[in-house]
Amino acid sequence: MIAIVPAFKSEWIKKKGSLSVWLVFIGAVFTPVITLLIAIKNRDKLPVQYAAETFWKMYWNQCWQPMSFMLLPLGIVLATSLLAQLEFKNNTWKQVHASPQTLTTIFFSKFAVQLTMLIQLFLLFNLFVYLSAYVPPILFSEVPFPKTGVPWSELMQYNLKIFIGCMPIVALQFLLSIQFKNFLVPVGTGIFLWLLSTLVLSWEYAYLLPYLYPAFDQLTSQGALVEETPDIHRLAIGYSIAFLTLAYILYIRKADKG
Amino acid sequence: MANFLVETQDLTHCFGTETVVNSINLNVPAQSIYGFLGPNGAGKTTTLKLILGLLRKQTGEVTVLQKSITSHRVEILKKIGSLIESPSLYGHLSAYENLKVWQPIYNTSTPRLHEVLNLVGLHTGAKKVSKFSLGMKQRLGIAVALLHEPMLLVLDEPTNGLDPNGIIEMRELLRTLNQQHGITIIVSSHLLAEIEKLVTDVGVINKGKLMFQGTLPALMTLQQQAPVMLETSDNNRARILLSQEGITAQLVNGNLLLPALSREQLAGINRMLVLEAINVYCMAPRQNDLETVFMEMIKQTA
Repeated sequence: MIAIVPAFKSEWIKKKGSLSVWLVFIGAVFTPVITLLIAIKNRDKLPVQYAAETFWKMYWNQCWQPMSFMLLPLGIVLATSLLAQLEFKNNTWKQVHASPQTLTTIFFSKFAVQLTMLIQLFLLFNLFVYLSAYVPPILFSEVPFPKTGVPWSELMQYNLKIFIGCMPIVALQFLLSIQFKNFLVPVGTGIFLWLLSTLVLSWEYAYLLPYLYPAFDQLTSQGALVEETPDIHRLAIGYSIAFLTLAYILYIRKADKG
Repeated sequence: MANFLVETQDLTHCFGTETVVNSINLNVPAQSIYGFLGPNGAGKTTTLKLILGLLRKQTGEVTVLQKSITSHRVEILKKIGSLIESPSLYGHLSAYENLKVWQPIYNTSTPRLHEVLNLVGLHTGAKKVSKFSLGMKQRLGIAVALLHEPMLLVLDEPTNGLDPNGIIEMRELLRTLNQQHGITIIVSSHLLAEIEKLVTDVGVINKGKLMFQGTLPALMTLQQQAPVMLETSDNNRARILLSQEGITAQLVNGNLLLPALSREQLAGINRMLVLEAINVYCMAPRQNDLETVFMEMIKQTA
């Protein structure tokens, strides 16, 4: 367990300046900026919206909608693949495997970096959503500051649900990215599964496709889905464990680690 | 008993039905520079990957520092620095940042990062590694391998792609590391001429089989046992005369090929032939430098 700390540090340094880091930042800032621009375009409606008791919930929903349906699953597909593929791209797997680390340490430190970056994305996204909400009242005198405080507890629970919903996507993309040298395999598979999931959204067994889980949470939050049956979060955890276990077994059993 | 830092016993490895490493018994003496020679595809990289545990071992045993790589992998790798095939570097990072990647793993100090960069003569600042020349990448690859002050350095074709000056610099660096820092080095190459000035011990591999293993002087002995090529105005009569003197000569490509002889014996043969009115046009040891010896070994398995 102690060995994972230096391994994590090492993995964290590797991603510096890589495209995956930029993806996290762009992914976090994109929706709040677009939501803000739309709000400014419709500034005549803003005084009423900002005066509403449910302003924060509405605003957060507006930001989360495109994020949960498209940007988040596709962002995870791309960022996870880019990060895990650093070793293939630079031909560095052999150096990693010739270093004094157990294979288990290498595997879990890499996965831990993926999860940490996802947490980073969530934190930055929430921060930008929060900050962007204050721009119209600063720019336009007729727009009041929100009357109610941010319902942090509710929003954090919502974040947590979406985060759990993202876990199987991260795990499956991680599995593909460390297995296949060709970058197109994890990215292509991820995009295909996401497309397939959106096409069968209204199918009664759509809950079996994990690429829709963030969207399900969004729909539930908006009242479009009354109750999740069965509980997609339990399914998400089950899928995550299954994908991660499979990824670990395949990684450990790989005969050529050079 | 000799003190071997690396030993393999009956190491065999197959890719599908092809045996690429065939029952190899490698013995690398401590503090030596071991030249691992063989043509491309001979099994050098596979053997080195097996030593480092990069390939799952099929048959045989690999022992490093008297411990099995299978059961003591992490412990052994703490003492090994390696550069296998092309350098493994992160192109989007600078040289210093590449070393920073390995700093937590090897638990080395920050001054050590500067020390190894100085040692390999790399002062590139913030320049990204993707902009480096191959020579600079090779040097950084060695800096990474040296970061944790290893006891053993495993270098696979480190001079590949280097210009003559780069090869000389690399040779000097490896010699310094061996002589001043006591590091045992295994260096593979497909060109004997490139490393014959550097190594103390040699292993020659071809088609997965170890053809020769020993010290460089032992290999030199093979060189000194050079046959002599003789060209005369009457080779047939010269052959009969030599036979009468107890020297067996073979007719090869219109010339006579004599076994290895001393300088005095050669002078005596020359005198005898001239006295018998046979003109001697050429008498020379057949080309038998280390490269030829090496090529001869390779031909034996062709």
